[in-house]
Amino acid sequence: MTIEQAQTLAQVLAERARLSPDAVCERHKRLGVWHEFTWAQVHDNVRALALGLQGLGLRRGGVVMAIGENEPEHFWTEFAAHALGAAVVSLYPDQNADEIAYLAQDSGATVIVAQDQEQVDKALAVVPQAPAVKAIVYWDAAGLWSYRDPLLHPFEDVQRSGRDVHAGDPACYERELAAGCADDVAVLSYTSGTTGRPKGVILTQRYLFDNAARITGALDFRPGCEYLTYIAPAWATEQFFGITLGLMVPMVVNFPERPEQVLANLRELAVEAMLFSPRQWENLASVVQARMLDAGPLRRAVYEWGVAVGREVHVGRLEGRQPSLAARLMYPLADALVLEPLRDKLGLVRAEITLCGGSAMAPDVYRLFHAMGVHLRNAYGATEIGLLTLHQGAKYDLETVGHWMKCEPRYGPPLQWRVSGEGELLVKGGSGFAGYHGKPDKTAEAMDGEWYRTGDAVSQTEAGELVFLERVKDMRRLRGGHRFPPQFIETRLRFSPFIKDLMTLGDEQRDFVAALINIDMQVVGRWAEERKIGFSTFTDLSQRPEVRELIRSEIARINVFLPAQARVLRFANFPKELDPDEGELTRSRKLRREFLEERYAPLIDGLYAGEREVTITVPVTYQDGRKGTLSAKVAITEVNGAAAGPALQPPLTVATEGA
Amino acid sequence: MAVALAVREVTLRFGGVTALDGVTVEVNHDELLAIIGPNGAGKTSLLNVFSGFYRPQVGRVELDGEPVRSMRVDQIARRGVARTFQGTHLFAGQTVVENILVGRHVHMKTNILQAFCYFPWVSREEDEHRRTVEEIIDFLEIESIRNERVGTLGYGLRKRVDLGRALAQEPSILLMDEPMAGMNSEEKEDLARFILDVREARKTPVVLVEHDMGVVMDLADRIVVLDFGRVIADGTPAEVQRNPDVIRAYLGEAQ
Repeated sequence: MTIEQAQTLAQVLAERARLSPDAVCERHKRLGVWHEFTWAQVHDNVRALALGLQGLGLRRGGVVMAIGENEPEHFWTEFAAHALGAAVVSLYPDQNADEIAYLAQDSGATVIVAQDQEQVDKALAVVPQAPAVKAIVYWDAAGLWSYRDPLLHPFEDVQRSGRDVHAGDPACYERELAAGCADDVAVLSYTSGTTGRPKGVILTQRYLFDNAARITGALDFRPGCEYLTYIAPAWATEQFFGITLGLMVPMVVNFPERPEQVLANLRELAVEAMLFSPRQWENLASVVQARMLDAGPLRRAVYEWGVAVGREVHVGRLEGRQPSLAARLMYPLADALVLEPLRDKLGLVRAEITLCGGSAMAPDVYRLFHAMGVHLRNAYGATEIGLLTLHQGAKYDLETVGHWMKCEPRYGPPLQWRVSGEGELLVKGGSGFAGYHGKPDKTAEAMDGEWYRTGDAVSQTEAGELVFLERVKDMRRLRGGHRFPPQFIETRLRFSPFIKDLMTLGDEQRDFVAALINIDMQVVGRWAEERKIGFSTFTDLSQRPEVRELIRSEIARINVFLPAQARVLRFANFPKELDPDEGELTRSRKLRREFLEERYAPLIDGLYAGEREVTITVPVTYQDGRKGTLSAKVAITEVNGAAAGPALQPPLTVATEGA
Repeated sequence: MAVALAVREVTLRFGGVTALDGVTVEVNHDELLAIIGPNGAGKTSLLNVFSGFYRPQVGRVELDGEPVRSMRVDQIARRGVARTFQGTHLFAGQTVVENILVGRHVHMKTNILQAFCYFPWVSREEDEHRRTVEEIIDFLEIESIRNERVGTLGYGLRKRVDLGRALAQEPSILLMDEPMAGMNSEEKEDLARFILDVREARKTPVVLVEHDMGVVMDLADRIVVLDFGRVIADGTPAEVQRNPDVIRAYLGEAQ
């Protein structure tokens, strides 16, 4: 069998181990040192684990649940499941027991492979509600020394029994591998549940190969290149990159020491390929911006000059403009003084393939990285139908999500698309949509004949690049009939280092757009300290008049880019940090809008009723599960209040009637 | 259960002041023993007798059944008695890794000349010590501050490094002098978790001098109560809580 003939990822792994057993393919920082794994070692570990999991009752068609950070064992679990013809449900490490219980019931998982004590505790709590779970395997024993539950198995013990099986019957694993086929369900990738309960999207082995081929068809991956895995395999995109491309390119997959160490690790590695979500790129960008806030005036001036030169050269070329002669002459100096050190500090000196996927990100962030000389690209797709478009080549429009990708014929017909009457993107082709696990009704809802309904409002540029506007259901209409794109506003405002998150308000009952802002405690806190502004808690800081003025000016800056009717006229700062444990955010850190609208209803009513201050009470949950309530006075600020005359005030009386 | 460390009928005087008066306390293997008592009851003195820093005028101190009278303090440390201090005694200008490495001192075999020549076995030994330090860093979950200077860290983290330094000694018994003093409740909960883990994972007996009653009642297997240099109670947390002498020592005499 060759790599091309392989039908499952586990078969590819076996082939890699046969062809180049001693080549390094995984690297993990443990105890302060980068440990390397060769193909032969990974194959051996996966084989031992697969046979051990078989001993725990995992069979073809079964389901394994994996929960933990991105560590080699997490990936091995997936390959081991594939070797047995079983599917994997990968979870975000911060998912709570209720969510896990639902996913365990829905998927029918029989084995949970968990990272550490935290995950084992949740898994044990889930067992009474999900009686199908027959074993819990853990790979980090810290804190579990005195656990005696019969369901628990240390990872090494499972592998040891697997090695015994292999010693007794060396052909056993080969037989399991050979039975794998391209239609095996490889992954159940659960939707994030922004609308209703999560649905398990069936990803087949063919689907994974198909998507990996779409990516390698659009970008040049160098075999053996270094890749940093950071986004969770719970997200289909990491299934394409770290997991499938890791085997297919192949790449050396690097696992960070701990998630909070990822920036330090990134710098040590200086990887060549990486994929972050918009949030993480925005984080990197705000690290730079926050540091520059701390810098003295001279350094800041040098930085701003260097980035301006980089912007003129790189962004100019990207947008098809010839950079000015002065900029081109100055560029080597700017690169040596500012841009190269910046790339070095962030660990991007060798970065060739840098991608952003998930949701839209402000073009400003892209421009900042491009100015630094990092060719950050956007990818667009849906878990159900796979990756669709990508910024390709050297010239692409940052406002778009790029050109359509191509599907290799052996995985399915070419990708085709059209836009429905409501402006919704419909797609067919490739390996196709295999359906939601156990939900034929939901699967049927997502289809329009043979077309998959993406639910996204899009348009296309003259150059043939796709523009993502907004989810069709999210384009919002104000009472006057004007439509506005809330996400567009939010991504651009989130680029401010002071704003961590925000929610725009406005619908057919409202006359104008308003916003609720979650300030970034760290950055705003430092900003306040520098100005000797005293504050105690998040609540206090968020309501300080100086901080409100700061946020006001940020919004005013963004308002300039919006059509007059779509501008944000009033806002308030959330008196507490938004928290996924309280259901305010999903696990992938998206806002739960309906829940927030209900929870902060008095505040929202106050925004539209022209109040200056509203007292609200919200329940809060502490990290250890204790509950309490937070009662706070929240101030409401006019965005144009300070600067503009009365003519620009929002029509408050009308709003009161509507509310 | 074997006795790891014991003081028997110890009396310790400073001039006219009797700090400890005929005190007998045994620390068993795999036990978390707390020593409590009002201010000036002699808790820290007792800890210093345990570590061999104070030599009592009367009585015996035994480490694994052997008298320690003849041992120097450094020899006692070499036998595996480690302690943390009230406040922290760390090198503020050095990094977390370097501070924890200091705890490896008792296990280092290389002399200064060998270190200068940097023989292969010296390099191997260095790797080994560094590895032990990294295991402690992993255990205490302080990877992110590994290379920070200790002086720049918050108090809670410094206490954690202090514990790391004591653990680097690979102690056979760990003495902790008021580890929770000056901490907020989150830091206390973290440290309490680590103290329990020390005992669970490393099977190291721990002697804890502590003022925070909540912490003591939650953590300790056994509590010894001192008052004016005497042991007035010795038992499980529940027993000690009910003991009338303890209540009197803490709340004063009922009329």
